[in-house]
Amino acid sequence: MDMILLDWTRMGRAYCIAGAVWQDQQWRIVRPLLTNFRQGPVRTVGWSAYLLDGHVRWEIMELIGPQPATPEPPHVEDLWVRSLRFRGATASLEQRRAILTTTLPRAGESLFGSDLATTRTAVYQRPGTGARSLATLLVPSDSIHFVGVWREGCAEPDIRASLTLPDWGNRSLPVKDHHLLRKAEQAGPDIEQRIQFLTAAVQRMGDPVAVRLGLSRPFVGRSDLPGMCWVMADGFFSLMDPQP
Amino acid sequence: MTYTIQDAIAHLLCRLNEVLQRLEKSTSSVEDPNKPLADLLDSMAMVEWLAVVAEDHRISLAAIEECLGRRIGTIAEMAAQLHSAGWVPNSTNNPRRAPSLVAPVPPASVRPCWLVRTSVQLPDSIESAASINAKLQRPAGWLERHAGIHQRRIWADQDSLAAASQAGSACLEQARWPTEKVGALLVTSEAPPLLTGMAANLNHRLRLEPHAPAIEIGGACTGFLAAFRIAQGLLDQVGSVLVIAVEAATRYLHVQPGPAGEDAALFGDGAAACLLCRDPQGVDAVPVGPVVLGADGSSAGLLQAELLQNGVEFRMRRFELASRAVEAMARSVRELAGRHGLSISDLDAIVVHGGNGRLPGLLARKLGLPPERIWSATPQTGNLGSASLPVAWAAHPLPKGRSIWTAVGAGLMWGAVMLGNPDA
Repeated sequence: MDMILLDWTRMGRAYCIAGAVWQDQQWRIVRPLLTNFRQGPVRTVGWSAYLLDGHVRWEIMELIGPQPATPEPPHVEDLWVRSLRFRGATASLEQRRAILTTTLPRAGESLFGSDLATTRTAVYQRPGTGARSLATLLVPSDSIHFVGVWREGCAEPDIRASLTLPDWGNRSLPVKDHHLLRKAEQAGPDIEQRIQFLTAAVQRMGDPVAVRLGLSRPFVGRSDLPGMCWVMADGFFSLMDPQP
Repeated sequence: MTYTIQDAIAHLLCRLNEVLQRLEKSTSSVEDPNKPLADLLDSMAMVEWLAVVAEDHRISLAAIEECLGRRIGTIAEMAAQLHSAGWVPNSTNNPRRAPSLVAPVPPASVRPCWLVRTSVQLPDSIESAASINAKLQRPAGWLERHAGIHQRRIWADQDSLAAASQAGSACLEQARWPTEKVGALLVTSEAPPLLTGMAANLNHRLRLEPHAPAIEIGGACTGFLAAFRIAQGLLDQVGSVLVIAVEAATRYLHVQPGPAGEDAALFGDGAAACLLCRDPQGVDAVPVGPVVLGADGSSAGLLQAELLQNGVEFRMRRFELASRAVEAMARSVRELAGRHGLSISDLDAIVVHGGNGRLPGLLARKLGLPPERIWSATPQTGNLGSASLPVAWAAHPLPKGRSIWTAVGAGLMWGAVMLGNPDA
């Protein structure tokens, strides 16, 4: 099974990836997970940097030994695979646009197929509900603002994007887009420089920007409560010319 | 009193513990201000906490991050930075002493819904201010001048529960919404005509399905907003909720010479119903945003009810109560509008609970709005308690743009909700 790599986010030192597979005459989004960790209590083991570094989004990869995973809503896209193999090819411009467009919510449909709840700044969904954990939202580039702060002792700053979500108004979402963050880091060590870079980079994408939104795995603070799946900004793409 | 770094530390710790609890992070309290915040907060909790602190200081989240140099170490360090910048929170040492007048967090798990129809049943009997002044042994024009009330509606011999039922029936008929599709009935009242089983009684009178939950909601004069809030939580399960407010204050409060009788003279009777649906129904349906509610029990003494042998007496600290009420509603409106990125002038109307007939004018002045933008029926009906908001709303043509309903009630409780599309 071939997958076009679409979402590439950071989860600590590992990566979390998702992509599109062409199945039954339509694009289907999947989140490949390593079968080796199938018996683990939670599906939060990401992919190693050794395997992925040097590659880019929109590359085509073979999913080896795919097996359906028991859906754990909202993460219904999970798919067990034995390994990944890059094909050395990338998706065409038309395929990229089609994948982004296909994953937009339909008119009247909620982003993740279920109600979201808000906190003062963010949005989350309870585990066990929802029809998907990944979606695309079209946003005017000049309405996206980046902010950030560095918790001393952490390896990297917490960068957030301020976006307007349908029904929920302006929300501040953690930015997990690995490629954009990596380029921002190359812009300089200072957080201000990185924010300036991110702002300029997104403005260069033109209008509208296709923002990939993803729900995190449940953050469980107390064992007697179900946890919260936070909405995160997983990727920022130019819709006209979806870049790697 | 001087605001010290220790005060700042106490404030930050208090807010931190509130946020950790709200985000279900911990049940134990953080007390060490020198512990690295990276060990205490993940990125989601940190931004929530910073947003709370920013709001307390009446500044933006971005401004507080800039003040801290975009680096956060410990609470002690942060308190020193904020203190040296001269920033003092709205509420000093203990934030609980002076809570924000709007619930700090928008209600979770609540999606906007639609107000499909509103219907009102006012009593047939009208008692003029002249008649009330005579009962109070006050000179002509006294009630009008002191309370801005020109007349009030009273049930007299009318069956108030039947009137409430008529309000509900009319609401459903006008909405073309069959009774079997009503998913739940919420009934609110500050002065109920029936002390027990009122919701069940109305469920029966309206011939709603027996399995449709019939629930009574308190909340005094904010009861209608409280009912809206509960309805928004129910709508995903039940699809539609009929909210009824019925007030029979004149049954309990006796107009007679003296302060208690003068307070009683402020209140009138009435009933109103609103149909709320998850999805828009009909061309007149108006979107309803999340309801914000707040409470400050330390101010309960401003308005108390005392049970007597022949009824109930209200004890009001009138001027203080009016001042707090106007302040709370003005702030609720400003904060709610601001939360939607709107200014006060963007609102077509502010539908206000009129504790007395002068409050709407005072609120207009406080907000810098012309009086006609503040909707209240109190001068013509008396204080209708929980029914005052829908009665005022129904007395005007539907606004094309945005409006805010706001109320303050005994407790002290307050609340607000935006109607209309904030992005329109």
